Amino acid sequence: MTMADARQIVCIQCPQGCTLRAEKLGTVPSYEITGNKCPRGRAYAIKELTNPSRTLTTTVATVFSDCPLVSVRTDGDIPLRDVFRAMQELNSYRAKKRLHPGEVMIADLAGTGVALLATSDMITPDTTN
Amino acid sequence: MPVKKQWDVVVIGAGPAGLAAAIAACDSGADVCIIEREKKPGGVLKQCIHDGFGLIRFGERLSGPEYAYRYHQMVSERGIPVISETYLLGITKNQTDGKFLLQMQNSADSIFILEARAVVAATGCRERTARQVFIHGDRPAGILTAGTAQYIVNIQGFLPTRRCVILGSGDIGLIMARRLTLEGAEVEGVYEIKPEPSGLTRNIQQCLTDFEIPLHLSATVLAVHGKRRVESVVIGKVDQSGQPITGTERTVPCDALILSVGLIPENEIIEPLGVEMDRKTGGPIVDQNMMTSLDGLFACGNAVHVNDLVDYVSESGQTAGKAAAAYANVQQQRGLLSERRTVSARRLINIQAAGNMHYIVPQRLDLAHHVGADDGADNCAAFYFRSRVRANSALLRISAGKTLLEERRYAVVRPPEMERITLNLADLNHICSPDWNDLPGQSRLIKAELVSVSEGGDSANDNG
Amino acid sequence: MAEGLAAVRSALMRKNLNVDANEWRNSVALTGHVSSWEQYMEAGYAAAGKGYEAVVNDLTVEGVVPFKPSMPEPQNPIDPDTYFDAVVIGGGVIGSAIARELTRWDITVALLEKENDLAMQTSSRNDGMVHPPFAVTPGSKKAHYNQRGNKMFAQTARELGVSLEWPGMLMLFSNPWQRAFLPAIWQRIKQNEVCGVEFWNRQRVFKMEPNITADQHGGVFLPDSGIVSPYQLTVAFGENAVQNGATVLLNTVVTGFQMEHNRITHVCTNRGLIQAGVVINAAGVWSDVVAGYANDRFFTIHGRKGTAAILDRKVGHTQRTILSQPRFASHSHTKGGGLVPTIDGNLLLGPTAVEVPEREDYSTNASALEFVFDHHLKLNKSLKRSDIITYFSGVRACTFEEDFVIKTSDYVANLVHAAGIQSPGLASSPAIAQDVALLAVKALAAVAGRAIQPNAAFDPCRKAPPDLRGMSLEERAALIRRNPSYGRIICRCECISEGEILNTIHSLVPVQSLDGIKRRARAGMGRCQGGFCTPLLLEIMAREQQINIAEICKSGGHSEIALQPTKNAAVDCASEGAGSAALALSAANNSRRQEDYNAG
Repeated sequence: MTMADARQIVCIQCPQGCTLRAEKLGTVPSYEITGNKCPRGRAYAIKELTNPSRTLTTTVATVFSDCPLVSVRTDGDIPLRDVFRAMQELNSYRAKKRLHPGEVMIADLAGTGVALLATSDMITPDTTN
Repeated sequence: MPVKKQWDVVVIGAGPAGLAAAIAACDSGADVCIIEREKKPGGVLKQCIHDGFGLIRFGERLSGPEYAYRYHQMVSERGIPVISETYLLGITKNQTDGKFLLQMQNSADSIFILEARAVVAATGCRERTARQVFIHGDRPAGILTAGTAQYIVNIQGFLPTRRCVILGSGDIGLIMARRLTLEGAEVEGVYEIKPEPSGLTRNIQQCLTDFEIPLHLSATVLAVHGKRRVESVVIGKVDQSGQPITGTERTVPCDALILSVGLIPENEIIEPLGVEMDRKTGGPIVDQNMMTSLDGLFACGNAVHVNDLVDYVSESGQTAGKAAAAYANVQQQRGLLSERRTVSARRLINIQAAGNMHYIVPQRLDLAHHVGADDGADNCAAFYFRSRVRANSALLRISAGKTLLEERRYAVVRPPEMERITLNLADLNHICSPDWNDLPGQSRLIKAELVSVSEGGDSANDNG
Repeated sequence: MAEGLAAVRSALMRKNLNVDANEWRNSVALTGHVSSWEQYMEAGYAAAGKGYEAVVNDLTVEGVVPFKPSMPEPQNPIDPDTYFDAVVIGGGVIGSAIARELTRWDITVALLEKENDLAMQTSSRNDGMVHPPFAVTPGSKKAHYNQRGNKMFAQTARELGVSLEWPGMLMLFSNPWQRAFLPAIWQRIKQNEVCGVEFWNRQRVFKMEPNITADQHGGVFLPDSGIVSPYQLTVAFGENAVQNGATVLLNTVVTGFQMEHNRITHVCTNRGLIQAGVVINAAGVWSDVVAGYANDRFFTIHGRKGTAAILDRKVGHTQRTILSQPRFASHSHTKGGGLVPTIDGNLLLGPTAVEVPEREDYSTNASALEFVFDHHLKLNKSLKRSDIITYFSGVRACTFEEDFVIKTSDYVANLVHAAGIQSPGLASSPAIAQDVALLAVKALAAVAGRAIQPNAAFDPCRKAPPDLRGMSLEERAALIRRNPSYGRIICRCECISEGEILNTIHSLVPVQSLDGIKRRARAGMGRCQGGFCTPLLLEIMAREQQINIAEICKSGGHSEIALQPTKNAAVDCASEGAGSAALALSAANNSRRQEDYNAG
């Protein structure tokens, strides 16, 4: 995932999906980014050139028979190259604690330093009526 | 059948539109409940475990279940009942008192009737099937829509394929390409009959490019082969009119064909009431209060038109809920005064989609009633539209008669990407004064025109 | 018409076919090689009707490899001592009806079906029409059984608890000059004893069918035209047979017979040998192949494929009667299809009729679908293409004589044929079953050398599950209060409850696949085509049969929907948890239990 000196990048920060042009300038790198409509685009483009990373969303098994499978996501991006390694770790993981959405399930996922959050509700009873 | 309970507002469906509608109706003082056929609220969001939801509503990139959970919390805090695992058999409207009767069925209470002054249909949409896009050949196991595959993978925890072809580049298809790849299946490729993708650009990047899944444009599945299970599909290139080009056929071995070929608003439950439908959107024609052509019946979310973003689904739900509460309130007062039966009539103006505008929602404006958009500006109404073609520079013009109400330039418009604008209706009130109302019918409408300054590709949107 | 071998040979010569014809028993057998399937068909028809009982068409065709019956996945073996007085081969509507008729007698009956459910082939792939005896040639077996079967249908459906309606068929004239056929039509009606027929003029047609095409010039109305669910009817025959003591063996294919002199002693199957008193050949498209196992292949089946489309229930109300616009002058081998209301409230478009070499090829193609659109959609002007929710193909089992073969074999003492059954086979089924059962019992008595007594305990009325469609809200509410599973809707499009699905799983002939549930309970039959309910059906079936979701099939063989769990952990979890015993049960164990259930 190393880059050529100039690259076109589709920004994935929001649904607009801006097409960015990113260029690395000089040996002490500085970057010229064009095409972005907001500052998040610039940050994304630099990240994409240096260390592309993504939020991982998937499911994990639990020990609870009423919710044997729950959805999870990383609390922020992890390096793209670590995604499959993280998936492998999660394949044999089993959640043993009931959590609300947004609560931390794993503090450091696969050595990325990024936490894994539960995203589905493992606590509230099924119905409210 | 006895009436079990009377409500100001009954919301059909506890997906993102229905939850938002119920919250808004409750906050407007209405006695409201939600009926839901599934066990848990959240609708399809429950299986949309990917992130990207709520950027507009919450300023965060939430997953579907988190977005649903937040709305469910708001519903619970207000004590709004969610009557779940309950199926709506049919709706009728009492012509004398204008109330709706909803025939309900569930295991616990068998069959019962709910009465409502106003009804909000937040019934969502369903996926177009292989048969509805006329896929031929065999019909073995392994042909499934992306949403069904998503349920099997994300909710049930099973892989429905080891090596698949995805037909259609709609967002659910792209999301599932990534999801299946992450879970260890191989996605041979995504095939799109149109010359450009149907899904959002960022999903092409993060779901396909990231995982080196090829996207084949102007190509489609010509036939499925397989006795018991899919064994292969035949792929072919298509010409500009979508007709297969002879000699381009290629057989791709795979065990599944997953389809993401469009969504269809589900309105079968309200159609028998004689609601006017929009052929372009597949949903009912609504005014800016999300009221359908039938007084007291509101609709919102993907039942009205298929949205790209859940945030807009919630927004339309909020409008519908607020307006339904206001309608129920007037109905109730009228009931108390009983001598005045007739509802104060709506003053409706049609909004006509012109030029390259594929459709615009709402399709009508009611000048007599207005509950206001979500932006806080009470005079504003939100409009959603899609372009029929891709254009690198487009001009939106909204005019009433000779008066230009709004003009806006777009750097790019694409059929898959819905645009949203707000219009200040205060401007309209003087244009559409009573004497304007006397104008001949043809000029008594608002024209919403989309003009392309430069056009790139000619792809009709197939989302409606 | 000239008869005999010379006549056959000259007919073949006239068609420029390099084919040899010879007599074989009472039939004429064709040998040689032709260059196309069209020539194969031409030769067969040229040889038919020349004074022989039937045509045995053994021509080889360029590029066509002879097709064989599809085989089930390996199954557990049958006890080698198994004996049945009567073994019926083929669980279509004919075989199932025959099995039921046989249980009127004090004999043991087995119904063998190679697929994993009854009504898997031709019987589930037709328009569900109970034909009036109009299109059938006067004096033919078809005419005889159609007349009798049609009259028996109301009582049969009542006994079996199967919904039946009589919307009547309206055959429209597309030109004013077609009325010239009226005298011929009246004569046919008289010959075939078609009841209650009326001529409707253009105005009357408009009045009765307001959405009808303007392109009509009156028509003939045949009130004795019914509609039924062909698969529900077949399953009901099967269930009633089991209720009266019959055994249904699914996934069981016949591969040959063991003979002694001119008598079948054993039926060879993929699961071992079954001793048989009498054998009934109701093997549908493969009935000539099965006859051949007993060296009695005196007729030939050729497949005639039909493609039909189903329209959304939303448009079901736009039409009352079965509409068709036949080409009265042509000598086509079917009525040519039409626009048929189904018992489930949909409309069915078609079917087509195309001769095909493969007998189990149910694939569809664009041209067949275009044909039904072009010919039938226009009959009802409120319909549009986007009302289509699905389409399918079936293959009719036709002989070159275009008539049923219903007889005891001339050469095998204990073999009865019910073959060549195509349209109007469904309408004829109760009458065919009656006669074939009598022939079988007679043959059995002869070979066994004993008198066969009636079964005193026979109950013609099926213990039918409740039919929610016909119920008022009050009745439905009462049913749900008694059994809450009828309150939980699983298939949202067709409004099918969990209770109705459970009835198919716990039927006397239990379903083994999702397609089985779909056909029997209609779950997944609607506009979303199972998109929403498929995962729910998987869960219900896994729970009820105590198997893993990944073992559940769409139809037979390896047609699993879910292939493997995504999480290693999930498997561990399940095997340690409450469901461990359930998950440990293999599919084989499960099917064995089902057979115990059947046999008991």
